[in-house]
Amino acid sequence: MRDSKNTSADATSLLNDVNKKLDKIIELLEKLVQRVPQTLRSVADVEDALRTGIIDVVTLLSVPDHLRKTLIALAKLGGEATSEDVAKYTGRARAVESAYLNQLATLGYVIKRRKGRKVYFIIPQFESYYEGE
Amino acid sequence: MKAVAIHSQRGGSGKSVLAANLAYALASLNYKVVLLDCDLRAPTQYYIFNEPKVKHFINDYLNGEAEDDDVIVRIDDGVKGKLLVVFANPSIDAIKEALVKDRRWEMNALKKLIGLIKKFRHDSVDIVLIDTPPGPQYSALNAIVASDATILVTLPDKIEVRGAEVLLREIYSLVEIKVMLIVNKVPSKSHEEALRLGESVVRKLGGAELLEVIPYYPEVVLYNGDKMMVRDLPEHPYSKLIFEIARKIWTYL
Ligand SMILES: Nc1ncnc2c1ncn2[C@@H]1O[C@H](COP(=O)(O)OP(=O)(O)OP(=O)(O)O)[C@@H](O)[C@H]1O
Ligand SMILES: [Mg+2]
Repeated sequence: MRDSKNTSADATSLLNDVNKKLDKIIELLEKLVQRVPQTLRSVADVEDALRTGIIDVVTLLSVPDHLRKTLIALAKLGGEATSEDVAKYTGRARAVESAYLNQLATLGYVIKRRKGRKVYFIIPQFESYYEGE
Repeated sequence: MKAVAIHSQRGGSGKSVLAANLAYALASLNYKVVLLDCDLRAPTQYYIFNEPKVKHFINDYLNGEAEDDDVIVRIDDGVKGKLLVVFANPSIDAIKEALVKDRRWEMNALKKLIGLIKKFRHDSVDIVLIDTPPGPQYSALNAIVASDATILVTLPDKIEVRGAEVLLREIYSLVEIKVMLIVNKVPSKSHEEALRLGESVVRKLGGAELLEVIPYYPEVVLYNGDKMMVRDLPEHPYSKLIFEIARKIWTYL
């Protein structure tokens, strides 16, 4: 009985290790993905969003597949959140969301702002509509 | 709490009548329900609820001219739970105004809609039903993105089913939203026959779960705007099916 308990504890900690390593790998892969040129369609959309300064629902629907869920989650969280908040919302690993959010920042959809020890990702249009008028 | 958009590819599939009756049925089953009319181009809920006194419409809230609390109308006609409705302004001026909104306004409307739904979550509402315009129009897309799930209403004919297919493939799958299908206005003599037709529709539409099949009932047309089916004719088969949906929708959400 005791033995099997130990083994299951060992297995859990092993799984945890594997999980952490997988997160690391995903993070590295994401960094690689960032260097791969975007498809023409998404580049045009990005340019459009940046030119007009509008991130509306049509923009949300036309961002590259792997980033869409992250951007929509950020919008639903009110347009401002940490990678941890987004991960809680999407159910994906924090490292993954962090990589995607950084990609969105590189593409110009979101901005990064440090507040104390936390980094917030912000859809600027979501916070400045009335102030800008 | 769950926010559910009620949508279809083509007009006239029965979304607005369904939304109102389902909201009323859920409230009678003791849930706290919000019904949001997000069809600013063809507002309908105002007429379904017999032109109530409304101080502020959702238009005013989206325009930044009214607070969230000011647009909520409590409907008090004998429901056990709570039924709160946010109406869209049916005046021709408001409709004209909605027609010429630009992308910047729509972007802000999405943000405000998300804020409103957040408020309802905070107020411990059980379910928010959102009536939308048909097809991939701005207010519909905003509602879908802001929601947790969509009820896709379709007729059983070929053109409608094609339209539903397009929505599933081009819109819903992009937001990874849960889709529940209602096949409405099915021409059939029995519910069994209707079910068979409905099931053949679902087989054609991958990625959606069948919530209910509703036959075509002339009374629904005849009484529209005059009587609310679930309230005034609770024994009618249409009303019974709506109550059925109100009971089982929770297992799908
Ligand atoms: N099961 C049904 N049987 C018969 N008539 C129905 C049924 N469901 C809805 N209707 C009728 O169909 C008509 C259109 O319904 P409704 O206004 O709800 O459609 P809609 O999808 O909201 O339309 P729109 O896309 O223009 O907003 C109404 O007259 C309504 O009474
Ligand atoms: Mg309608």
